[in-house]
Amino acid sequence: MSDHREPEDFLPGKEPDLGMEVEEFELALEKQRVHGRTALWADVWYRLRHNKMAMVGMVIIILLVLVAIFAPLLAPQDPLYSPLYDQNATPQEKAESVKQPPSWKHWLGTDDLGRDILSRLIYGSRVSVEVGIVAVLISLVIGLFFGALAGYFGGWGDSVIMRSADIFFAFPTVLGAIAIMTVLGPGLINVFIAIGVLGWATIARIFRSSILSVKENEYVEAARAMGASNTRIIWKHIMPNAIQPIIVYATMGVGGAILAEAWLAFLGLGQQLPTPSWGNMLTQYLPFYTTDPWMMFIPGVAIVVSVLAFILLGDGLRDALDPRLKGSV
Amino acid sequence: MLVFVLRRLYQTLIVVLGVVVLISFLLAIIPGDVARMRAPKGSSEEVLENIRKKFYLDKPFFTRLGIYLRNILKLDLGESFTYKRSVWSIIKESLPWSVKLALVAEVIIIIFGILAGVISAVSRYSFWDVLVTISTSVLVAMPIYWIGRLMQLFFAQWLGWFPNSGAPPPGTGFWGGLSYYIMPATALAAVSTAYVARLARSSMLEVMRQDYIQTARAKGLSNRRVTYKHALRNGLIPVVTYLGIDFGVLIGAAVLTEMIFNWPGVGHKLYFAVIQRDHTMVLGLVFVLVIIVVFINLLVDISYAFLDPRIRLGESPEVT
Repeated sequence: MSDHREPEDFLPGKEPDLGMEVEEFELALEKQRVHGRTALWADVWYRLRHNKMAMVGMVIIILLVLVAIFAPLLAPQDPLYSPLYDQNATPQEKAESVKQPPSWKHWLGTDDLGRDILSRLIYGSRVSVEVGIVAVLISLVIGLFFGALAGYFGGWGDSVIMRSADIFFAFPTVLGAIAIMTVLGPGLINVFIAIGVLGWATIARIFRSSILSVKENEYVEAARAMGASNTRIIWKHIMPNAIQPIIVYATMGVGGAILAEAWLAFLGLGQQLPTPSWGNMLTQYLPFYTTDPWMMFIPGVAIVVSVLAFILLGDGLRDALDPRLKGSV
Repeated sequence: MLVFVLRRLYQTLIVVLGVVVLISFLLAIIPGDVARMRAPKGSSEEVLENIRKKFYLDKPFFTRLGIYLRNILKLDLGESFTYKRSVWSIIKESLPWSVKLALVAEVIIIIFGILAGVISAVSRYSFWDVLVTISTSVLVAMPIYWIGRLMQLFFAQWLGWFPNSGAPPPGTGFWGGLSYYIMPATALAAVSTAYVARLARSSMLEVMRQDYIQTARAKGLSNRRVTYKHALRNGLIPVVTYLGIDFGVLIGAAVLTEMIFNWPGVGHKLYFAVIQRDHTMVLGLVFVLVIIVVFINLLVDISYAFLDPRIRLGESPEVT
């Protein structure tokens, strides 16, 4: 067969003989690709494992998730139990139960309603973990979808999506969240929605530019030449190479969402009492900052440590995924 | 240059229109019987009906959306339900306080952020560098209103250096007045200072790797001269861009700080509007603040195009 081929030769049913079955070739590529990917992630894991700060962050995150899952087993008391509303408690017991400093009975003391702070802290971790995971997932689903659409197909869809992203970008997070929460009303589900919806624009932007830089590569062209569908190209060929900055951003985003829950609670828009969350605990203890300053340190430190853990892990992941970026912001 | 300015103006116009549509949409979809939420308990049907008329709640959704759109485009932000005054008059009264606070915060960010960043870049991996890295990470992870309360606890309650909260009362002298600004401005500046320090550090390190720095060293220039004359000028370009864009955010996103320090700015009004569920006022204030942020971004970008030809030629159009 001559080297020269007419365009008609590429029509379906008239595939030219490439000397190798297409399936066979794709299989070989697949093998190489799978091998390449495992090697990449093994490499990433190796670098991550040797980053002390990232490992500290990871251990804290694992602990946080375990505490949230096993809260009912770990909490020494019912987080909602208040002696003030207990008909069996004597007036003296009631008076003494309030704002006790840490003791053997209450490791972290009691709050202004006599509730055990440690138990509330343990149950509160559930809200933080939920907000972190759900809000970031919402941003990811919306952001990746529109980012892929904009980056891969381009054209007017790209302009529409990116201009909409610009509009979302114009809102500082606090103002955007306030505007959305005012309309939706307070509550945890609405916190998920507000934080999740506000995060999509950044993810879409990062993913779009990441796709733009990947899609001109020869292996993508090769996949297209072999007749792979758009979905397949995006998922199998572009995604694994464009996802790295998203992983870093999402990790830090979980920390951001935990922080956002804290300030939404301060605005009275977060998890509603009596269910404890770190945000509403901190808000509740703030007024006692002159008389019992120790109280606000408990949820405050919990928030800082967990947000910091996600920042450290995110930093570590960025360095591990792309050592060239080490030390950049 | 003209093309760049026009393109940027066009983008801004789209964003502003988008914000207008978004805010009108949010105003129109507020669920529940708003009139009943706003009227005092036990009001007669007639009163409720009047409120519905006044806020167009008796109209169908799309008519309402249209009315809000038209009003916002006419810069009529409506009347606050709790204050019984127009949203504009409240903004006029409180915006100067927010701007002044943001200016002082910006000065704090410039001094401490750049200083910390440059020190840690120059003496990399030293004690100071580690200290800056750790403290910036912790600052970013702290809820800002907690930073404020901690400052009040240490510097006002225990040490008594600054007044606990509030704006300087009329008739206070310059230095006396400044003491009211220090704590809220520092709290407001905290997170941005941390970002600026990190940005300055990495940008300086990046510049120090460049060839022309090597050349300068090879010429036998002193370390100090190389750092401050050659590296600093280029190293600070991204920092200055960030500072400009951040200024809008400092004005717009000061809700928590202004609340903690009882500062009479827009954020303080916004907080109470949120607490009172005063939808018109919340969305009106958010609208104005977002527009301010957008225009400051526009100004920063255009002035950059004047200063740095690379931006105008589209080599690095996106500052993220």
